[in-house]
Amino acid sequence: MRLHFRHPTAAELGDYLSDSPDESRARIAAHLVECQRCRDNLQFVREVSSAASGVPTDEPSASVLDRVLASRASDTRLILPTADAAPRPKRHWALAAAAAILLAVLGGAIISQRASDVEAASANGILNFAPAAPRAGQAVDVDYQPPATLARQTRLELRARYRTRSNENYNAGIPTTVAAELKRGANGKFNGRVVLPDSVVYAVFAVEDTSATMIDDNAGRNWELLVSDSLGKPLFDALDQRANDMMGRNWEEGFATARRMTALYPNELRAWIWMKSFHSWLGRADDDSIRISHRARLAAFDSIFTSGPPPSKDDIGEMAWYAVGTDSSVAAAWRARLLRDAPNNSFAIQWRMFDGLDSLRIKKDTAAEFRRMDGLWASAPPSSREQVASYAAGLAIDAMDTTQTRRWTTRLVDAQRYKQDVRRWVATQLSRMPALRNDGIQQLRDEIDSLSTPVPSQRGLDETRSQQQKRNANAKRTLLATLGQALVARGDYAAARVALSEASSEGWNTGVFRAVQTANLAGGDTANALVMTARLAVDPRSTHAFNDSANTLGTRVLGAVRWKSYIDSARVEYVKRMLADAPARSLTGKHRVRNMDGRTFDLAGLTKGKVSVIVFWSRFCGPAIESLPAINDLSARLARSGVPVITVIDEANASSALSAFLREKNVAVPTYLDTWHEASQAFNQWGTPSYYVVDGDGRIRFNETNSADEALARAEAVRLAYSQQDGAMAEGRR
Amino acid sequence: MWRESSADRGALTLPHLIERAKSGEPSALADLYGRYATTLYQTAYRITGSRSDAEDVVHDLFVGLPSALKRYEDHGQFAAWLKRVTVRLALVRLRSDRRRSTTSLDDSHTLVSQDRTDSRANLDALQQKIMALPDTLRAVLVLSRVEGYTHDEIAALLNISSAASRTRLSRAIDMLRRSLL
Repeated sequence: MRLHFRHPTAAELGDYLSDSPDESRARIAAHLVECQRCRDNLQFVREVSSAASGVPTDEPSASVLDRVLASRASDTRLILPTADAAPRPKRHWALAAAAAILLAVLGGAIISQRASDVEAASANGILNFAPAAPRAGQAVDVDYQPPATLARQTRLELRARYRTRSNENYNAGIPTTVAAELKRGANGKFNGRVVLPDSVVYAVFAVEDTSATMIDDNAGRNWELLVSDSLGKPLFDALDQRANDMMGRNWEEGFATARRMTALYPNELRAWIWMKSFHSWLGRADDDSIRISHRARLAAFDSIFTSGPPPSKDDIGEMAWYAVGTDSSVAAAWRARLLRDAPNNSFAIQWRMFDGLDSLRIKKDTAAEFRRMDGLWASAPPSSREQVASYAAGLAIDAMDTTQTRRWTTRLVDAQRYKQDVRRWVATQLSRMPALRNDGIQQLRDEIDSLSTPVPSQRGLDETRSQQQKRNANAKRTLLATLGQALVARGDYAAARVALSEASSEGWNTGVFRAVQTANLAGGDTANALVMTARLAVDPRSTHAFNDSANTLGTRVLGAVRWKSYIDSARVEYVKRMLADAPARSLTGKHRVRNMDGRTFDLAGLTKGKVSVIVFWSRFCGPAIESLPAINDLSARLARSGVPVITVIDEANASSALSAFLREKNVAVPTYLDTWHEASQAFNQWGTPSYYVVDGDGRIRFNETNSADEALARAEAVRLAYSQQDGAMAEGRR
Repeated sequence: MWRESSADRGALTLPHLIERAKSGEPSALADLYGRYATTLYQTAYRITGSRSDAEDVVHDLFVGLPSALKRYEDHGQFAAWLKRVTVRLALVRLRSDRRRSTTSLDDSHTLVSQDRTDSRANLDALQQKIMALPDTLRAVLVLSRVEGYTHDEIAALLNISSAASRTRLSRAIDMLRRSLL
């Protein structure tokens, strides 16, 4: 009888290749003899190791040594992280009496924030469209039953994000607009009419009051219209745009849309490309059944295009793309055909763009590469130009070629003028290049100016007016920090101080603090630099190595007592600034969940009295799967502070497949099942992964975040607020 | 002029050079830079995925070196010590710049997958994907598979558990495999 042995992980195969003596070595060797899959995996680990070692690197530019010597000559001193981080000591948060008194006021005020201070609507109305499946350009009647929060209004606005067939995935830069005014009728319901513009194939809606302080976005789901044919079947372009819209919003809905596309339009190649992409993102492309089905589908399309009328250029591009990774010989044939017959198709442009990397690496001839990019730019369709410009601009910046940087960043901005983040990125890059610094400073100032007046069409469907202002203020502070650094580099210290002081005046953004710290150091303002250093040191996301060097520096410059007062003040600021943006809302309704053994628990009971983090995730969502290691890390880190992390999965019952998945992914966090969808309703949650912080009074604090790091910072801030409040109260009793 | 002739520099033994660098002597620093900077820059580049970050790491390393050397005890492992400090600096820089960690599996949608029959293109594609890995994964991959650190050593450098280091390596390799399909 053969003993069963699980397949070794990639890390174990890595150890095996490293010849490290290990008890599992003999077992792995025996297993490899019998398992082709693991032999393939071992070969892949070997290839990755060799590829990683061979990643082309050049030498540091000649100016680095000069910079080093100049820094030394100007008395710049840095403390290097020479020791591994020691295990984090248990911290004592006892505060000085004065700080405690301050916190008694501050912490109390923050923690006891009333649950009614919620900005976003926590209950949803009911909205109906007639017809529900309109044709292009058709008028649609809207009937809306509001939740209590909006019921007393006389007039509401229906806002929309309209998508035409050419919009890209994700929603950045797609404007929002008021689609209709809704008026209250005698029965308390609101009515209005939307006339869809002719070009729109898909539209997403939310309802808000006229001052944009209360929004009903159907708990993130929004309401939607898919333009349909005369029989009520959604147009292919409508589904395609729905999938684009779901990118970054809801993975499972995106996947469901792809499945619907293939069911309704099995002869649309693009539908199968969507499916293949989702299979790949979900790590299921290796499943035999999936691989076989894509291969069969590819063969069918290949046969149609070979025997029928000649394919269009778009068809050729899509065939070449779909065939990659599905069938290598078919892929090679279609790729050759694409480059020959449709060299300016967007897929062909991508291939041509990256095909040149080889010669760039070998010949290191950047001038030739820029000439090649010029050619591609001239022939690329408008939709591909951003990609070409983005690549060439990156190359120019890396090569520190000012002429090419100016040329390509200008083209990049022209290609995507409506994308603010592209413009801000360009301004930031220019401000860091000495020869283009003045241009960069001017562009940064333009961007900062543009943020002073919120643009209505750039307000998200789920965003109140004050939230938009807050978002702009955050962006402005980040840009001000960059501007401050550039001004310091230019020697313009007075202007830099103004910019930096405003940059760090509000909010808790470690990127801003770091920039201000660097600029202050460069400008010789050690005191303010150390204020920023102390803020970075108290942030739980900072590394031990950073904290060690910060403490050494602070103690050396200020002495232990003063440095401790800096740290104490920074901690007060941390709690105050983090919690300034943390509205509280109570959990509504029931919130029963089941554990993996089928026992029922009340979610509130699981967290009661403790600051906790609740993570919603799904094994059918790529980003959620990708975040599992981060969730494990978060749980381990917060366990040291006594903050439990609980995960909730949108599945009704435990299954062997789910158990196997949890084992395979080493999920080490307590897992509960949202059997009755009560937890997701109570949290008003949609889309995974989403992290919520529950405070010690059982209320949800902050809006959801999809970042484990941010969840860590938030949970620590709430925990610290309670701890400071307790400390202050104890101090008061003494 | 502080620069010495190469003959003078060549005459110095390493311990002697280290002693002189401790006092911040520019020529000694420049000599150490000449010996080690390229290798250290390459290590920093593989970890940070950015040339400018790698140059900043090398800059910071040599600016801080004289003070750090005062705490350094020479056991004939100077190059390994220097590399370890470089790795730590690069990791600090990664932590301090979360912007790059947003690269995800999504890139398989926008980046070109190369034809598997072309081995050179395959290698390029693989290297592109390695550099596009999330920072936390690429760092472990590079430390383990290029720099040869054990998982216990990586755990100490990153302040994670040894098991987490292994998990990240496995995850990095799984992600690469999937992204190349």
